[in-house]
Amino acid sequence: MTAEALIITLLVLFALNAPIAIAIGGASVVGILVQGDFQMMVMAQRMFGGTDSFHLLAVPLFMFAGALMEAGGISRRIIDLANALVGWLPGGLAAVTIVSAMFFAGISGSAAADAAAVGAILIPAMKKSAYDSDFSAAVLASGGSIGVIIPPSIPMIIFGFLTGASIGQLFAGGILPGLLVGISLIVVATVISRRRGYGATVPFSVRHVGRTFRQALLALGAPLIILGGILLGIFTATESAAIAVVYALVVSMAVYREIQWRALPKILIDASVTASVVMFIIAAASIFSWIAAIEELPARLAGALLALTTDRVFLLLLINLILLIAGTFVETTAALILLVPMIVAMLPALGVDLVQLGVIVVTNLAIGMLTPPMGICLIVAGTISGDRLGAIAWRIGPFLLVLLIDLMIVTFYAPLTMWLARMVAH
Amino acid sequence: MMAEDNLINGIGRLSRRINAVVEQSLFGLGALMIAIVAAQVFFRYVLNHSLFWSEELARYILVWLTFLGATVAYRRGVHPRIDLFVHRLGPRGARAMRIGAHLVAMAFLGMLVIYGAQFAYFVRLQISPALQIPKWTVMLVLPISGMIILLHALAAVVSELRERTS
Repeated sequence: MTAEALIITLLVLFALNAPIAIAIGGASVVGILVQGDFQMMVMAQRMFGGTDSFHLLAVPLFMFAGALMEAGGISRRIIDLANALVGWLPGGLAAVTIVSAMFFAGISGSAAADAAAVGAILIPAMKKSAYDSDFSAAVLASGGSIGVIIPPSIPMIIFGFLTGASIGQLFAGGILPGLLVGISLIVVATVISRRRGYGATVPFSVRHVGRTFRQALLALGAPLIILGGILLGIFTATESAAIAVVYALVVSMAVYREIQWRALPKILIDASVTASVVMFIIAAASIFSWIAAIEELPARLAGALLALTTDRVFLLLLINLILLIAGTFVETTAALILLVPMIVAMLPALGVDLVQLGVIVVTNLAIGMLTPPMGICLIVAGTISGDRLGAIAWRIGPFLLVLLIDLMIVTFYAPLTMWLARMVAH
Repeated sequence: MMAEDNLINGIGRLSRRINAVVEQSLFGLGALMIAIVAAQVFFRYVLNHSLFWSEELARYILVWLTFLGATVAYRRGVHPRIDLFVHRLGPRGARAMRIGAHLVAMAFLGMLVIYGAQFAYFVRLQISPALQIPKWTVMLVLPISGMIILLHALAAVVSELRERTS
């Protein structure tokens, strides 16, 4: 009875277009009322408990670092370097867009915001070089959505928070799948570009690479600190995020001098608001996952799926399908909190490591952001390029196809994730 | 009508002013959070002397930033939604939908105000382990933020309704 009330209220509030956090919180409140064993005060206790976490401090801190890197010229120098490295390919700008979008997608934690930031620079550049604008938008959307599997990644932090998986191992596990995805997207973009005759932006030259590399040297310090510190097991994700913020502050204010003191409040305020959007969903969903766990909803749903099949390949495919559909309609954080408990309940039957499961889950939700009709990255890219959703949805096809192939590799070839993940101290 | 207009303008003005104050406090909280976690890293790894209070304080700041930030996000209309069929409605239907969503939010935030205050009262005697501060001071952000979002939602509903009549 409680489970039905939870799910039906949730769907009704989603349909009424209430903010996702409020729909989830509202459904939980109805669930507590129907269940009847607890005082309503528990809702406040759960919302507080859900946000009172040292791990989750990494969410706003990475967002601060990303915002500072973007405003302070660090992002631009890294894009310049990417241009020198892959700009000589046919359709070089498309490759640059994919590399940059993937690189920045995890940093601010909002794939849509990062796609918007990279797209604001590169979509006009592609249009100027006579690329079709619907193709440009498709390139941006695919790189921007899938980038969350490359560390640092807010969805992975949330997966770690939910399941107790090591965030450092999740980050390490995402690196090789991220490279696989990046390379395959560039291959698709290059093939399409060659067929359409899009040229290279710049000829390849070692001197050009060297010059942009020198200019980006300090800028590259930020990702190096983030990755190195976590992968070597020196810092926690939260600590490395704080160091990255301080580093980005020093480089952009004292060395590049691209951020003035008086511009600082707005940057921090806007990043705080983006962070609290994610955190508020976590707060509301903490009530939901608590009452759902009391009603053993995740275990019952998992049982229902296991009744369909116990074959591990079919189960993995089924989970992938559920996650892809959820990722298309529901914001990533909410989808994680609603679905991960059910999926983890099936872990023994799936025969994969918890860390690999995390990478599979995040990859799925990322692809969901790209899938018509609702994918948020698709919508953002279309808004920037000024294309109708229908036009981009058509262009996204080849990219989506190759991402699904990559997803199958990530799902069924464990070493791709686990080889690096095992090297990180737990 | 004059008195009514004054009241409506007053709600809008209050919502704007409180939001400006909350935005400034977000800057303060964000800067403090960065400083505290950075200091924790510095003390632990450079001075080899861990701070005992930094982790707890940073967590409490996160709670405050989450709920106060959510009020600004509400006013800016950036909390994500699932826009399944809003765009298929006409302008009147879309407005009815927006007002309905605000009312749903007000019902939930109203509960957060009541039960958040009740919870803060419930823990009134508890002291935080590291900082030794009363826990209700941290919990207070729940009802406060709930009230601020209620105000923003009310201001939004009032301005939607006024557009209809004019």
